[in-house]
Amino acid sequence: MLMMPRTKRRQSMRQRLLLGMLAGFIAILSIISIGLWRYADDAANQSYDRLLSGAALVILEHTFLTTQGISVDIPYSAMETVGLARDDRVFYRIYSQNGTTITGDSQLPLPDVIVNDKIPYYFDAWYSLERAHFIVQSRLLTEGSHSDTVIVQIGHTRRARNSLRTDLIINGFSIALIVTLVGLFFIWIGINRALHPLIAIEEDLRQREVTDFKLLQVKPPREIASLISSINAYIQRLKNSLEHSQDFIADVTHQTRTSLGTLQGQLGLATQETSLEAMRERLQRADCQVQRTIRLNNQLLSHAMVIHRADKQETSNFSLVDLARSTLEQIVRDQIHSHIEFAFILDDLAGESDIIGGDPISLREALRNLLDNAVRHGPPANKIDVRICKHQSGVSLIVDDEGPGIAKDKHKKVLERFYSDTLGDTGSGLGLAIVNAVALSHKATLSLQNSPSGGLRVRLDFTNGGLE
Amino acid sequence: MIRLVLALLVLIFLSSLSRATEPGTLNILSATDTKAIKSLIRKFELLNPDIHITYQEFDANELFETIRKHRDDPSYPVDIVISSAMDLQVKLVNEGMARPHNLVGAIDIEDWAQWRNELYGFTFEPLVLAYNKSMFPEAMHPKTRSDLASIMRDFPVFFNNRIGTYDIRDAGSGYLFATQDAIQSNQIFRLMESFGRANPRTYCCTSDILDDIARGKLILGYNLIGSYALARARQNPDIGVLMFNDYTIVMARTAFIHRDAAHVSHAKRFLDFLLSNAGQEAIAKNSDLIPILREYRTALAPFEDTSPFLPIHLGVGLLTYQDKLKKRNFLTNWEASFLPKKLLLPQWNNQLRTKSVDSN
Repeated sequence: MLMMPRTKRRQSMRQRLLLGMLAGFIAILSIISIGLWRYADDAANQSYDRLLSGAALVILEHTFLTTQGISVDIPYSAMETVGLARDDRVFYRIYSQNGTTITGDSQLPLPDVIVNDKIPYYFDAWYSLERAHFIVQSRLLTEGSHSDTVIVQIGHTRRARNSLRTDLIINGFSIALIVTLVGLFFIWIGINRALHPLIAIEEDLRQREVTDFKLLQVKPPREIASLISSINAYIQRLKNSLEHSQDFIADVTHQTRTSLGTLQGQLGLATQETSLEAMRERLQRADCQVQRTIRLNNQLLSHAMVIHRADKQETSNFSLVDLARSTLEQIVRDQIHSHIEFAFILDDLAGESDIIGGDPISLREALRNLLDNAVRHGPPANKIDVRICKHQSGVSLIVDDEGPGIAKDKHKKVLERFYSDTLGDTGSGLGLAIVNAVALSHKATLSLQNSPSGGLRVRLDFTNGGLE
Repeated sequence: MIRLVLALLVLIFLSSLSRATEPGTLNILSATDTKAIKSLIRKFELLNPDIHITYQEFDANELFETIRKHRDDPSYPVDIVISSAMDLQVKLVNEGMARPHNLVGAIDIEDWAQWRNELYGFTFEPLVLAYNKSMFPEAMHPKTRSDLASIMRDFPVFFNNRIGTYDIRDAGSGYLFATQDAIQSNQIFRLMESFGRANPRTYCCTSDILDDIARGKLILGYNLIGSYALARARQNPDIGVLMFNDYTIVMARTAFIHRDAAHVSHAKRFLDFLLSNAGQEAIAKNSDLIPILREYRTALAPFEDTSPFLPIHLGVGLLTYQDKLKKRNFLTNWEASFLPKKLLLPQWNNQLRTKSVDSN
């Protein structure tokens, strides 16, 4: 059995717009239908009320007062008029004001109002198992000094009315429905036109080579202009990042090759030396070069790790004081036989927490590099201070040494990779670059200053407290 | 002479009397001469062996009163009501006595011959003048009603007591025909007066008038049901039929299913049959009636070109002359113009007939 992978259906913008409009149209249709129903009901009633009214008037015209009382000669046309509602049964009664039926059906339901003043009154009532619509209208008859009021009641069943009402509703609704469909059709076209720039962008991106970092050239409508500029900015960043990586790889390759080349040179020279003394000299140099290469590789890995961890954004809350102290302790242990004097100074934090959010491993790496640099570049009787103090909006980590320091104009330069201030030294040129990367990923400010003792002061100002 | 002939005709295949409520029965109450419709009913039974028809003949007014009298008695055995008095039928249907039925497999029925999918006209029967051929020479034949009025004025002695028509106070169909005349023409009371001067004889039914024409008692009869007259003319060469050139009113015999019909499906099948092509053909071939479907109206072929047929339209218009006051006024006018004053007596029916016969 072939199993299709179940993919979650993507929401179509087209579908969403269309559904929205459809809902709107349905709402409008509902309102129209209610209005239509009332209109159709009124129209049907008015049309057929005219028949009743006409018939009632004609009958009233043929009523007269005789010595025996009211009489009526119902004209054929009266019934024919009502009979225009072809399939409806007709009921009528002519009665005097005191309720005496003169002719017609005396059982007809009476209106619930008193009828007078020649104003027709219409009402619905059940009669003979069907719902019927009646008119009641009166007329004052005068014969000499005698006068009396005659009332005519005539009504018919509702078949014609209901069928006219149904017709009107169906016709009206059909038109509304057609308008809706045409409307939806044009909306469909409109949506497609509006989405056209997006489709063009999709085409552009789909057909692109991976190395093509050209910006999108479409002229976007206002609504998606920011989307396009974001995409373009992203393309730009991607391009920069890739160029950066390529530079890095080139640098690493160059550094490693140079380092190994130097080592090979030293070893080659050593084999040609005749005196044991000179050969030892060469070998010592080679040993130095090996150490430098190892350190370079360690630093490269360290740098890559720091960058990688920053990308992965593995963060937690930790105590800066604890981290600085433990790192320092480790360095002190390594340098136990040197004459370097280490100091850990914890200033009053004045209520400021030393808990910061970040990656403790990266930060430990950065501090280790700083201390390593201080040891490496300082005098044998160096004095290295690690200080934690408060600044305006957070805590700072400061490392002072009594080394030669770095000239102010090179402060920026030393933060770049593979730049070493001291030529021919064992420096890899990556230490401060690592610190810089860690500072960036922690949103900390890295600054290089002169220490009070004339050496270098490296200062990291952490602004954030803990993570949320 | 109120005809109380309840010709209970049980037309069943194996002639076993079946009770009205039995499933195979269909009760037809009809104001139609049994003789004229018998073979049509037999034909229906042949085609539907499961249905046995119980046929009862009434006068139109009797039928109307019978249906009304039993309006609150659903057990009264009636399934189909047939009458030539279209106004009375409309009145019954208007009162809600009918059950709706949409015909199945029916011919195209014109608008005038149906109402409310309840009342259906299935015949086409013009109102005619029938005459005794030997007594009424062709040279005298009137073309129009005013011609007839003129010749009656011109030959008062000749026509005296030898003209017959419906007594519209008694005959439901006769009343319908007279009121239709009144609607159609203002001249009709002039004709009535001419009749009145000739001391006319009045009858309950077409067949009685035709009998007297055949016997030579009457020269002519006015407003007779054309189907009966033509059928009689086919059998009796002495009888002639004439249709006027000014207008010829056409009555359709109508049928409806009674509201309380016990055998609704049979009744529906019967109505469907009456108005199917086969039923119309059967009416043309097996009965004295004339079917409403034009292609089977061969009996009327000689008159089609000269006589404008005016069918009576089914509908509430027919209720007008059924209004109590209207009817009373119409009958008063009719009596005043039609009947000699001395004959206006309470027991008019028998006495009128007796006196007419006596004075002849």
